[in-house]
Formats: sequence, structure tokens, C-alpha cells
Amino acid sequence: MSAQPERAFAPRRSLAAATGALAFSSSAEEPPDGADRRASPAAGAAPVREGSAVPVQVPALLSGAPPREAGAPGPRAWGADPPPAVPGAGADPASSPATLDALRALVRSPARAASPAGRLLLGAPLDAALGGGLPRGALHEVHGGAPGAHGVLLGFAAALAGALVGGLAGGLGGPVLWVRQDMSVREGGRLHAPGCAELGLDPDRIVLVEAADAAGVLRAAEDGLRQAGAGVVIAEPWGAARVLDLTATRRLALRAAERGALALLLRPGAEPEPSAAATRWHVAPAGSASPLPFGLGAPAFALELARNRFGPTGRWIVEFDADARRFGPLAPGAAPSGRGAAAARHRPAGDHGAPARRAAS
Amino acid sequence: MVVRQIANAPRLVALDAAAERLGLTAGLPLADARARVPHLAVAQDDPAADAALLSALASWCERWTPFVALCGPGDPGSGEAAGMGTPCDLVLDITGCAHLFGGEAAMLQEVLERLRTLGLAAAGAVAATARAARTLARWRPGARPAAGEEQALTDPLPVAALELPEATVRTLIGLGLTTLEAVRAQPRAALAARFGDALTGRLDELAGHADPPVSPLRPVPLTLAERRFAEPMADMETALKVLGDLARELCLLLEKQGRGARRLEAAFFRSDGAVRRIPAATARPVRDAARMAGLFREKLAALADPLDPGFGFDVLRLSLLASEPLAERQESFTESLASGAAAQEAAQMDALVDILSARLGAHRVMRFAAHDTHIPEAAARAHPALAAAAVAQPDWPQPLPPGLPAARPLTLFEPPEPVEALAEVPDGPPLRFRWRRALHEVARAEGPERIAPEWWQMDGQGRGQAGALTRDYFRVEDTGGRRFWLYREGLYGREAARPRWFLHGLFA
Repeated sequence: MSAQPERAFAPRRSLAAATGALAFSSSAEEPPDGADRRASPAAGAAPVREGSAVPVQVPALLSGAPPREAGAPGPRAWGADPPPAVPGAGADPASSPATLDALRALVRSPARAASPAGRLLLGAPLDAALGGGLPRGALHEVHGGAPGAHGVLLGFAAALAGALVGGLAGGLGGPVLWVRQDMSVREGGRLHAPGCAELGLDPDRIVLVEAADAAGVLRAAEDGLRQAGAGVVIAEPWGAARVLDLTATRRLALRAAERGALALLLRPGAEPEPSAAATRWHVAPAGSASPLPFGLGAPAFALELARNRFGPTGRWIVEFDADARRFGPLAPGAAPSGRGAAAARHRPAGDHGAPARRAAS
Repeated sequence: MVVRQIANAPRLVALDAAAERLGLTAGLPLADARARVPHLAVAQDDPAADAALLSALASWCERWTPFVALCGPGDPGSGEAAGMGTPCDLVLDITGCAHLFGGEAAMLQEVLERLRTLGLAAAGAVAATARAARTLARWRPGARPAAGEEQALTDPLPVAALELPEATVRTLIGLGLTTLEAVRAQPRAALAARFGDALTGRLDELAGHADPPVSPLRPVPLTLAERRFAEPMADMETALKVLGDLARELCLLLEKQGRGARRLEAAFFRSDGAVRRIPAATARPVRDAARMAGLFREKLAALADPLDPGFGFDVLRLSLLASEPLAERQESFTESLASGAAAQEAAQMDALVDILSARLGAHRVMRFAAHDTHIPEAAARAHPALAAAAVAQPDWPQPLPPGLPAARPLTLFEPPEPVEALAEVPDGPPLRFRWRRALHEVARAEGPERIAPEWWQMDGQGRGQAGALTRDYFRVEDTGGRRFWLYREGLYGREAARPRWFLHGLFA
């Protein structure tokens, strides 16, 4: 209980406000001991007793109202209007545990955490550059996928998607539409569901589409952005494609903005071209940061934010914490194994003698 | 005149009226026929083309009734169905259809007339049973016996009309029983004892007393809606609009039944006899006309061989092939507040899955399903999203406890790609390996994780399905930070003298 108080506290307040409204209309009894309950942050049991109010409160969170910080001074319904506890009114013992679970899932859900002004929190170093998280209703372009490094590119996309819609433990946000081109599947392999789950993306949310060419990928992705309630749409065409011009990316960006969905355009094997994407990332593998001489650490990425409409560009070597669904600096004290990260950044295709990638504007 | 190679000699199998007037008969060797009539126009027999034409005709005949069957002498019924010649007759079950075309006589007239316009010589009859109709069409074209008249009409026919094996027919004639009337006059028990059930069965069928089931060429749809045009209509946009109207009609019917469509088929009957059928399937029962029409719009746009209206369509039909219960459901207020958004999202996603499946093919739109096995490639499979509801799936295995890196890669190669690997010790992780021609120096490795074939599927030599061997998996990171999932196939000494290395997947 001691570890949880801030998390549980925030929803309880909005809950109380809603309860107050309900109680007045149904002329409930006098609140027995509002002051006492307000003082104790023993939050776990409270929603059970106020079963009738719970469903009313849920959409308030769903609609993306910014959650209040635990200690921040907000419009406090508490002081002026102590929450009347309504022991009998609508308390449904059958539904209460389920409702409680739903509430807990809501409290934990990354979507709620991502709600500040439709942004997705990625972790401290990246959020600062992006001006408070990755904007959701926008198109983001991700380059990478040098030979052998395709997994890192896909991993970055899966991590972003998982951070938005949640993993096996539950969460909010719609399904993930992942459109891949056949060539990309041949190069990088088929998506493996348990691997997605381990990066914090619930495989049941993924709708996987395979298209023969880039035009098919674009069309399916645009349909997904326009029509469905997909929370994340990932388009993965292969290589340089003529159809992926400024107009096409602008269409994707507009659709994403209309729906508020996160659109990711993965560009394995492609050189940067002019596009309407809000950000452009280059993802390369980075050496493991595990302090032990053997064993692999958390997935590590050498990220380069090469284009950013919301702030400065930058480079980071980060590792992804799949449990918190956040990127963090590489564990201190453990330098990237040997020349790993540096080699990855400066020599992405070095083994093949391909020209090193230029940083795109 | 058509010839076929029979017993090493080309023989006539089919002739036209002019040839018959010259005194030629089927079965005559071509050399004899040429000797009699030197200037014969001869074509080689092509059973495959015949069958294709007949099947196309059958498809086209579905404009009159959804129940169309191809019948040969062997079927329906009795044992000798196999090998008794190829189907050569079209049987239309017109029960409950005739009045739509102005009665039986008018319908028969129309069917024959249309077949003749296609350049075919056709004869037809209407009777109570399939066999009676076929026999009468052959021997008494145009006959339309009222109920119970079949026996009188078939009595004068020769015994060959029974389409029994030749030996039986010859025996009957040898006994002096040359017409059906004579056969029918014999005691039934004696006939059955001498010639078996086939003979009496055929007699019953011809008399309209027995009607063994005939299987239709195509499953009869549950419901159908169709539109007939007075003039052939060649505009695809209009055709799609009409399809939308048909979908609305179908939805009204479905609503009364409380069901939703899972599989649909649109049939475009061209005025020149070609029929094009476009199937469509949905992920969940659908009762929304706009969605159905949208599906067909996608399907038609995605056709590799586009629908050609030719001289125009004269019938459009939308058939319902499979449906599932779809009850109206009213959510409670609180429920709808909590789950309304999610339900709406799910419905929109279903619509998207339907559309994408229609455009790209059902196998290209997938969802993951977990399977209860530890063989990595079998533990999670992507199934067509349209069929995903039918796949019962266990829960996903829980990932490792927090803080531990991923145990399973993000992507898998199917099949695993062979690599040349060099290991320090035989059982140890690789030191370096060459994959897709690039050399990777291993910086870190974790393993082995031994995954053996499932013992309940092993054969005598200790090999699993498809000869699978034990695999020792290693999670490996090269000096560039790339992470791979490698395995060594086979145990040293026990399973393989020189185990091979494979790259199975990529980690993030």
C-alpha cells in the first residue's frame, strides 16, 4: 500500500466528485465520515463501496482528461463538498470486484499516463527534446534496419506501440494495425508474438497485414488511419519507394491528425527523403549494458532524432524498460560492450561496405 | 463429327444430323467412315473441354433456379455410379420456381430458347423426378407429363432408356422384354432377384414413385436476392449500386431471422452466358448493407482479372452462403459508457479487417493466436483474421519477471536460415558466425536453452515431427549490438555427428 498512494489517489478524487453529483440527485443520506476518509489514503477499498458511481467516473478518464498530480493543487471537490458515501445506493457486490479491477487497470494504463495533451511519454531524455512526449496524432518516420539490424527497427516500433496501447497486463488504446511489405518480411522475418509481448505490446491487439508492394502498404495504412479505431498504425514498406513521396506522407499525417492515432512509418533499407513526418528517427543497435560479462541486458537502442518539429534534434543511447514501457539512459557503469554503440552509429552497414548513412536534415 | 481413340483406332463418338443422314453411326471406325464418305470433317474428342462447357452451362443455368445438378447415366442413386460415363445432362430443380417464369411450359420454352441462342442443340422435359425428366428429354423431347402420367409416357420406351449396363439390357432383350411396359408387366420380386435392385429402382424413378436425392453442383444458398434487367446492363457503377440494393433486401431478411451474414457471393450473369461469381467473407456476422456493398467494391477492385461486363449483365444475384446468429443487444447505460468506446473500436476494426481481407486476400490479414507447445515457431501462429474467432486459444505465456531481458525474439525466420558458426567448445555458444554472407563477431551470448522435440510425437529414432532434432538455442549479441537467436541442431554424438547451426530470429 505504501508504494501505491499517488497512483491510487488521483482517480479517487474525481471519483468523489462524481459521487457527489449522483448523491444529490438521489437525495442520499448525510455523509457519515467524509473527513476521516479523506485523511487516509487507503484507497484500495473505497471504490468498492461506491459501486454506483464507478461507471460514471470511467469515461471521465477515458475522454483523456489530464490526470492531476497527487500533490498539485487542483479544483478540490473534497474540501467544499465532502464525498457522501452511499452504502446502499446501487452497490452491486457482483460487479464491484470487476469494476475495481477495471479501475486499477485504468490507473496503471499507459494510455492514461500518455494523456497529457495527446502525447506519449517515452522517458525523460527523449521527452525533453520532444517537448513533453511524442505527439500521438502525427506521423513519425523511423529509419534503420541495416542488414542484421532489422530487429532493432521493429523493436523500436513495437516499444512505441506497446507504450501506447499496453501489454498483456491490460491497458487502453485501440488495436495496432501493422502493415508490412513482403520484402520486409523476407528481410527481417515474421513477427513473433511472444517477442512482442516481451517488449510490452499485447499480441492480441495486433492486426498484422502483409501487402505485396509499397502502394498496397500505404493504402492499407491509410484505410486503417481513416476508418478503424486503431490506436497505432505501423506501415513498413521496404526500401526506396516512389509512391512514398511528400504527398503520400502528408496524407498519412493528415489522417493521423484527424483520428488522433499514432502513425509510424518504418523505412527499412531506405534513404531519408523529404516527407511530412513530424519527427524522423534513425534507430541502430547498441551494445548491451548488462554489467555481467555474459548475458544480454535490456534492449538497447542508439537513437538519433534527425528531424523534430517540436524541439531540438539529438542523439541518445537508451535502453528500453519493457515493464515500465519507458526508454531510459543506458545503465550507468556499464559502457556499451566494446565498440558496439559507436560502431552501430557510424558504421550501420559496415559489414557490407555500404556507404555510411548521412544524417538527414 | 467427333472421334475418339478407342482400342487403338479412332472411332466416331458423336455425329451431327448430316452425318447421320449419310448412314454413319457412332462407334464406327474412322477409317471405315472415310471409306464411305471421303470428305468428312473430323474433330478430336476433348472430354475436358466438354466438361468445362457443361459446368459453365450449369453455372449459367442458375439464373433460373439455385439448384442445378450435372447428371450422367450412372447417377442418381444405384451402385454403378462410378465409371458409368461422364455427366452429360443438366438437371434443374424448379420446385417453386416455375411460376416466376410463367409456368412450366413457358419456363421450358425459355430455357431451350436461350440455350439455342448460345448455339447449342438442346432438348428438355419436365417431370416429377430427375431421372424421368432426363429420360423423357432424351426419348420424348418437350414432354411435360402431369403428376402420375410418367408411367404411361415411359411405357413405350425401349429398355435402353433404363441406362443399365449393356449386359443387363442385352439379357432383357434376349428375354423378349423390349419395352418398359413389358418389363413392368413382370413380377417385381422376380425382376429384383434376377437383375438386382437397380432395375426396379430405375423403374420406380421413371414412374415417379421414387426420387433419390441429386446433389447440386454448388451449395444451395440459404437466401438470395436478385435483380433481373429488361436490357443487359453494362455499367459497373450501376451494378455496384444494384448490389447495394440487393444487400439491403438481404439484410431485411436477415433481420427477421435474427442472423448476420458470414459468407456471401455475388453472381454476375452476363447475357452471353458467362457467369462470374465473387465470394466475400466477414470476420463477424454482419447485417449492414453498406458494409456488404463495400466488401464487394473492394473485391471487385482487387480482382487480378477484372470483371468484364461484355455486352452487359442481365441478372445480378447476391446469395447468402453462411450466416450466424446476430442478436440485437441493448447495453445498459453504465455498460455502454464504460465499454461503448471499446465496442465501437472493435466493430470498426472488424470492418477494416473485412475490407483488407477482401482486397489483399484472407491469408494476408492476420491475428496472432497462442498454441500450447514449446516449439517456438508453433507456439504463436498468425491466423487469418477472418477465421480468428474460430481458433480457440490459450493465454499468452507470461513474459519473464521484470528486469530480465526478452527470452523470445521479435521476429522469426521461416524456415530458420542456416549459418556457418564457429564455437569455442562443442556445446558452447558460437564465437563468430556468417549469416547472409556477413561475418558477425559474437560479443555476448546467453544459453543454451534446450528445446527438444515433443516426445509424444517422436518416431523410433528419437526424431520429432518432420525429422526435428533437439535444438540448443543461444541469445547472441554481436559487436555491433545486433541481437540474434541462434540454435545448434542436434546433440553431439547422439543425434548428429556434425550439428548444424541456424539463425532463427532477431531480437530488438
